[in-house]
Amino acid sequence: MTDMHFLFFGFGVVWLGIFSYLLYLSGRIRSVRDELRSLHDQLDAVDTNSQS
Amino acid sequence: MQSRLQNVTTGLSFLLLLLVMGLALFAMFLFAPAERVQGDVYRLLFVHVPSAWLAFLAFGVVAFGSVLYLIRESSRWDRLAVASAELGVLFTTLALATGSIWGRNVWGVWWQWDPRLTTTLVMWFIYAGYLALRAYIDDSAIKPRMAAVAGIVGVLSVPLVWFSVEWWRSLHPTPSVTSPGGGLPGEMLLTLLICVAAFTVLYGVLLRQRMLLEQASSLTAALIERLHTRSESPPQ
Amino acid sequence: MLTAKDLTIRRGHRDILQNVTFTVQPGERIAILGSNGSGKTTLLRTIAGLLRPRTGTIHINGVPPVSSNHGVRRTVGFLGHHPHLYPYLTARENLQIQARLFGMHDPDLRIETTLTTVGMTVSANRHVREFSRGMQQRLGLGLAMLHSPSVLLLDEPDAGLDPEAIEDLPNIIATLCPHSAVVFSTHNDRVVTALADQVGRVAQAKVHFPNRAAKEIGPLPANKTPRQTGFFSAATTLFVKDARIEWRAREQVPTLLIFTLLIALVFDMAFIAVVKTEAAAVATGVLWTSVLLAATLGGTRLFGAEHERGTLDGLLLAPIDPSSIYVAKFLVLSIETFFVGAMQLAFVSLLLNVPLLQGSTIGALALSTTAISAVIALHSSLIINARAREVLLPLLSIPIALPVVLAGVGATLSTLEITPAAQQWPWFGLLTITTAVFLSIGVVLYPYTTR
Repeated sequence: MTDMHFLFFGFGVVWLGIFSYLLYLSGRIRSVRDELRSLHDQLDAVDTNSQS
Repeated sequence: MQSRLQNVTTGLSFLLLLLVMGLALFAMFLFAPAERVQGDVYRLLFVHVPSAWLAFLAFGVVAFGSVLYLIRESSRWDRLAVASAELGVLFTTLALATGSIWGRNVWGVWWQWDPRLTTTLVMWFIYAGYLALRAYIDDSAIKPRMAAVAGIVGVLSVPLVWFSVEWWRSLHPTPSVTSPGGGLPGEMLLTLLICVAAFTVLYGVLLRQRMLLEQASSLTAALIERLHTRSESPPQ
Repeated sequence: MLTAKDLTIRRGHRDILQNVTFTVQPGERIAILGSNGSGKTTLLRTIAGLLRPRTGTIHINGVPPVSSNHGVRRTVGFLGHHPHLYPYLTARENLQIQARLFGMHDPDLRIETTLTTVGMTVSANRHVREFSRGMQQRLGLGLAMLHSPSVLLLDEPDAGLDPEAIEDLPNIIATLCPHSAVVFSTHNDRVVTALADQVGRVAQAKVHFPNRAAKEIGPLPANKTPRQTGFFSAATTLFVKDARIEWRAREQVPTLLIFTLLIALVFDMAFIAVVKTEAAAVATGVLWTSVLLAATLGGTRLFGAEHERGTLDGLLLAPIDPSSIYVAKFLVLSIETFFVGAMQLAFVSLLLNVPLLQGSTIGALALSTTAISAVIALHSSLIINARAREVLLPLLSIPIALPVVLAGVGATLSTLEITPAAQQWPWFGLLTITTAVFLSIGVVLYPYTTR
């Protein structure tokens, strides 16, 4: 391995690490957003049933 | 999940991040000259050192949030602590990885049981343990307090890592930025500072997103409780 | 007198009880009824000070039950779902510990009266682990009433009792706590009839007192808060209690000694080629592997066992500084770990021919086990509500204790190699500093883990 390979490898690890974490975060944000939407819908449904 | 203002702020912060990262990349590869002995591979310094410094900052913020949580008992400080702990583990991992790759090139080995490397690895384990503690406590009323105590004790490792190169004979270079007379030449130092600024903006952006996620998760749990209560109670 | 005003108690994200207001006068007895999960136990635990309300105030004789002056807990007696009893102590010893923690002077007569009243005189010198559920419940009642509390809180006092004992409940309370304000929960109508002056029903997060006129709560009587039991007195009582239990149970130490011997044998066999020239280094490795194993295994049970038995609640209800609990546990772990290390030193001196009774080596071992125990005792308290405790404790403690391990290994090796004192002192210095730092941190932070 030459010096440039090490340089490329090192920077690759950094960007991979940062983007992996960003992907993980956005995945969790998406799932929490979906869950919140679903919970709001369920709460609305329960409230509607109890009023009728 | 986020208000309009929060969306705008998020967008602006990512834009700022893009700009600063772009500037850092320019500085790293086009502004900073090659090093006399190591050539271009030394440019790993510009990601290795900021990663390590941001790890120290992150763990300091964990301790700060933990102390404030124990005093104020507001969940905002707990959210700050857990978000910063995750980022601290991320940056420590990057520092260890880039250090290992650079070390392979310079010293010929991927790892040495050297004081700085060893204490940094220990610091990684301390905060991995902090995250594991949070993961293994199910009671949400108790978890922040126990984690806060662990976060305060864990910060003791940070000065240990920082001073390890001075207290024990080490392969790792002694602090070259702050040493008088020696240290990095002007363009390299400026590049390093730009990279530290870029990583700090990255830390800030990720911290904010992670805290918002934690807040949303708490809201989810509260809604689930409310849903159970409404479902169980008789119609009014 | 007990006064609760506008109490709202939250568990998780839900208000279990809202705007609870009532007063209980000295000598008055109030039953709290309600279905399972309605909040009766939560209410009693909140009044006792084990939980904190989200809003509202509680006063016992004009003082809140949770205060920086822990002496206020002298005024509260509490019996939860599990009596706070130590299985390896006798009935009398359990009461004696309680008396010391509550700072009772000349408690012998009171202890005998309590044993007689709850019908435990015959079994007074038997270990609690030999008792039936009903006998434990009767002793638990006695424990709650031993110090004549102003307010007596009983969560299902009839649980596990036979009909005769249930009939005797009013007499027990009248004899031991005639002037206490009593609040109790139950599902048993006979207990309500026999005991209660007033009945409160918990339903939909509210407590209703059907036969009780709403009273305006006037100015609270100003009372002098009792003093808490002295720190060292409490720590000593708890340390002696734990040491006695460990001696009688003999669960931990024999297991560790067997592992210790196995470690010594394995290292001796593995390093057979170098053991003559590197005896001190091999011995240091053997010794420190055993010390860390002993400290970690001991630490896993340290607070966890108290928590599982329910006795930790009993300690937190005592009028003592919570840090004294930490100090007692730390001392127990230190001595246990030192003992295992000392036995290992004996094994390695036989197998590897290293000096045995060297003061500096024993000193290094003593300091090291103290420092390690200070770290592990604090982390042991963090994991009591966690899963996978056996994994978490070493993951949390050992990295933090790295300076101790380094200094301990350095000190042990240098003393076994009989290096000049000038080379040994830095390690001892580091051990002393780390012991002081970790012990101080433990004393300061432990109370936060108990709230």
